[in-house]
Amino acid sequence: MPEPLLKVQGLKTYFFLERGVVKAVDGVDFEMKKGEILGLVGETGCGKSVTALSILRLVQSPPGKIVEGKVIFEGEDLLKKSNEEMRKIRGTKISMIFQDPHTSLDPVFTIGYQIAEPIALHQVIEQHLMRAEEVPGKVMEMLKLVRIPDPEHRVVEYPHQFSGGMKQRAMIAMMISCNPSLLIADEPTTAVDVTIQAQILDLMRDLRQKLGTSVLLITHNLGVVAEMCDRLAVMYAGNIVEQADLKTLFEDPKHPYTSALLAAVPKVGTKKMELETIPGMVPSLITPPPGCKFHPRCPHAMDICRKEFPQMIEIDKGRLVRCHLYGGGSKK
Amino acid sequence: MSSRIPRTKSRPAKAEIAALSGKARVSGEKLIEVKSLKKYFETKRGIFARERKWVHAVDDVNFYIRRGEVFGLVGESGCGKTTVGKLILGLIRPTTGEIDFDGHNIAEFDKEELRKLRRRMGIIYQHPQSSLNPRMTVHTILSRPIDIHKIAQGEKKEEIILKVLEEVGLEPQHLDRYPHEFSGGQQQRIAIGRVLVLNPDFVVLDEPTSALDVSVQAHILNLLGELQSKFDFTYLLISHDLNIVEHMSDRIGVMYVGKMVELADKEELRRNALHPYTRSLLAAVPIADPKHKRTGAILKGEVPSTINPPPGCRFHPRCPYAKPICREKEPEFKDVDGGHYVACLFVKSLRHKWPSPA
Amino acid sequence: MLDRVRDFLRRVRRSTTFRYLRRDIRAKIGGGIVLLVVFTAIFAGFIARHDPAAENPSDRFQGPSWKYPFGTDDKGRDIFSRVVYGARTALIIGTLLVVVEAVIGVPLGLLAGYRGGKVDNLIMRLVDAVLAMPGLIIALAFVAVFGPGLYKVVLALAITGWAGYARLIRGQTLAIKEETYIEAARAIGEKDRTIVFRYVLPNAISPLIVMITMTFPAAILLSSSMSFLGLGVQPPTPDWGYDLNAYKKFLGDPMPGPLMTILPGIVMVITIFGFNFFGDALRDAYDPRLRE
Repeated sequence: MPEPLLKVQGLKTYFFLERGVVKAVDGVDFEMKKGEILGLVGETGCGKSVTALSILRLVQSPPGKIVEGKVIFEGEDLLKKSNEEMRKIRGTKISMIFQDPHTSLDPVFTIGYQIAEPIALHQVIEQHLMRAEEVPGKVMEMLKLVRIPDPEHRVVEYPHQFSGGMKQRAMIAMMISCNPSLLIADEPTTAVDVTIQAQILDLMRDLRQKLGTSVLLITHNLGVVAEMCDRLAVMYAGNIVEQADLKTLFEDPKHPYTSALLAAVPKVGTKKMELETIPGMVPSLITPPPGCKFHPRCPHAMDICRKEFPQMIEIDKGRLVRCHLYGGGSKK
Repeated sequence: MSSRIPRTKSRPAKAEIAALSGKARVSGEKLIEVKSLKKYFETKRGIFARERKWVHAVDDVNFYIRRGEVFGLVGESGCGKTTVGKLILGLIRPTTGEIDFDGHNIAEFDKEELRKLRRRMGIIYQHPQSSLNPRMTVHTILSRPIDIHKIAQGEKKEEIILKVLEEVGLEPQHLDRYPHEFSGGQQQRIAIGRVLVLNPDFVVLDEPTSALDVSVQAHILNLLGELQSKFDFTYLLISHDLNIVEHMSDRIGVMYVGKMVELADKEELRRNALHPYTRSLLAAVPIADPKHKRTGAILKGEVPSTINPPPGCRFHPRCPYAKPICREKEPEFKDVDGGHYVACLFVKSLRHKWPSPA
Repeated sequence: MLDRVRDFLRRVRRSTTFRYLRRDIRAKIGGGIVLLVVFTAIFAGFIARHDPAAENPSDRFQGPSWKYPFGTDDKGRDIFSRVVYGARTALIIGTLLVVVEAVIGVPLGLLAGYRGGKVDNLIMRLVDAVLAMPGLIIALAFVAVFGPGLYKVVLALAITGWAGYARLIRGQTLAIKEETYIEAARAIGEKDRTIVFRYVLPNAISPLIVMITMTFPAAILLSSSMSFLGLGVQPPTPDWGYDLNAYKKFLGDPMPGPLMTILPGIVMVITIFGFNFFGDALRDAYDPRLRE
């Protein structure tokens, strides 16, 4: 069994604000294999974005702080690295693309320049993998790889001359130019039209195949997840509550939150007029409910759920749930 | 500025409009009909621009909405669906065309008549927080429509407000609070309450749940569905999310770059979409079901600009079936099958290419 | 009515702006000074021991003492009492100036911003012209024609001062106009007039508060300048600027001569400083970009 590419253990990232301590990520564990697409799913505020930022140590340091945990990437704990070492990893070994393409690109530099920058910095200057003259060629290669039409003309254009979908692709080009082993995509298609989204997702699948890049796909869109991911981790209020491979999770969700979430999505082709709803509201991350954080909204809440925070249990190979319905009480 | 439509004789007096507030229980009749509707916006090009450039936001759209139905309007950014919604409400004036509401062409109404028309219409916006005045309490927000249209006063007014609160799932203690003190879902409920207070005939839902979480979305959609059957609303549901539109609508219209390219009953569209764009759109929508395989090729190219739309059929640059004539001739939006409208020159031949409807 | 006030205060206390203010030392120091000045102005009658205009020839040129904390002037008047009542004059001028400038500037700003087009153009050209004028000079010209005095000073300063309010409100209005809730208001049938006063104006107020706070030190400085030149507030109304001018001739004299100008001068400087400091803190507290 080869070593996982990424192993996150007990990650806790808190934000120390005037009104209290926001426990955005409160003990998250998961693994990623080489070449797989793991979906990190959840609603607003569940901590998925903060988890991603924590992996890359991009959390704004006051007020946020990674208080505990290990992020083991290719055998080394990223949380123990220096800032300089992290800088060398970002963009080369681990890259991240963000939700809003319109604000992620610098408006005063051409697209070509922005794609060239990480290549020049990391591959030419730092790692001596390339000579400076080879950079423009590599830029063109990247533009073609992300299927930007007419790359010879596009390379000298500015971001405002690109459409949303193209900007997103340019950003992908920037981020995979150094062939990272892990690509973190935070809501990469939320701000983009449906037909363009389909193109971008197709591109990402293609890249996974061609380059073997693993993708940590963060989204709240269950449709995107169903199309793209091999495995899924569902997050709620700072914790992962269930992990499984795609089909199993959709067909047989174990955690009550997961089933409720799946039932709440209007699907094309279903005849039901009424959607299942989850009563109550997302809990406060400053003062979460005692015991299981989902218990106030859970139709199956038992006495123990109010008192004890459930542990993550592996009920089957690759199948993990954090719920008292399946054990999860603390073992002696 | 949009050109003023010349007045005709057949306009009702102002007093009559106010009296038209009763809702006939006749379902199925046309409540709204849009004829040759066009809306062009002028782009600001700066002092050195020689030609004026126009955004063809809505470019000759024709359809009707039946009383009591949910009409879904889908399309991607720039297709004009939101503009159509606002035109029907009278919030924007058309460049040319007719908009019939309950038999009266509101394109010809003056400012005051339009204002009175608001009594019978409502709108729910995409971002609930920005659609509510941050300096008004919930009570004031709900009172304003009642006060403006002089529906009730004093105790009777408070009764209406309390009843509306109950219908949307809020509590009396919420009345003294300000919008920012609520969650997104609750804010949308307040916005729905603001509409409910007038008990209008027609409500435009402009991406009502796009900015909300999945679980909250379900609550709001259920609420909207309940209210529709309870109060006999007619909905125009505008969304880019086909899943939601399919879930709620009776009939669906598909728009592309300012034009309507297809219109059909929900079932008919699902089983037998005839326009290549609609088929691509349906194929592109991610379904929350891993067993579902994507049918159809992925559409190439970008969504075109509405300032210089492609000549002829606007979809031709991306259409996998385009022929030279598609670049020259604009297809007519025609009824090809008992209420199923399509705008495509080759609809007859294409029908046979595609797998037969399930 | 009372609970509207209570409700308003509760909202203020809970607001983010207030919380930021509470932590800002500038707000505390500046605010403290402002409160002190306001208190002095209101309770001048109790704080001052003597009638500021009362001349006591037998007590002339006295240095600071228990009876006369700032000493007496060349006519035997208690300088401390003059300064105390002078605070009242200063604040009256400031308040009146704020009112007149706002009453002229705010509606013009709202009109320009909401209507746009030619109306906006017209008003803004006027605002630009007025802003280009030297306010103090115009004010002096005004009193040269119409004579000096407290109310004329206010009017003279307001002739040019309203433009800042108009420009600020216009900017706010332009931004607020594009907000969804304005369209939503139209969608429920609100009249334009109602929209301007119940939807736009309440949301445009915040930067206005800062501007109002900053009008006070400007008013004090300008009116004192005018009084210093003898063209402002006239006796017997006590005024800082007037006193500065009246006592400046004793600066070269032996003590307590110089103190006669210096002490009121220090009070004036501290007052202006206090308002400015508080205004700065207030401006930063409102700024969403400086939020956490």
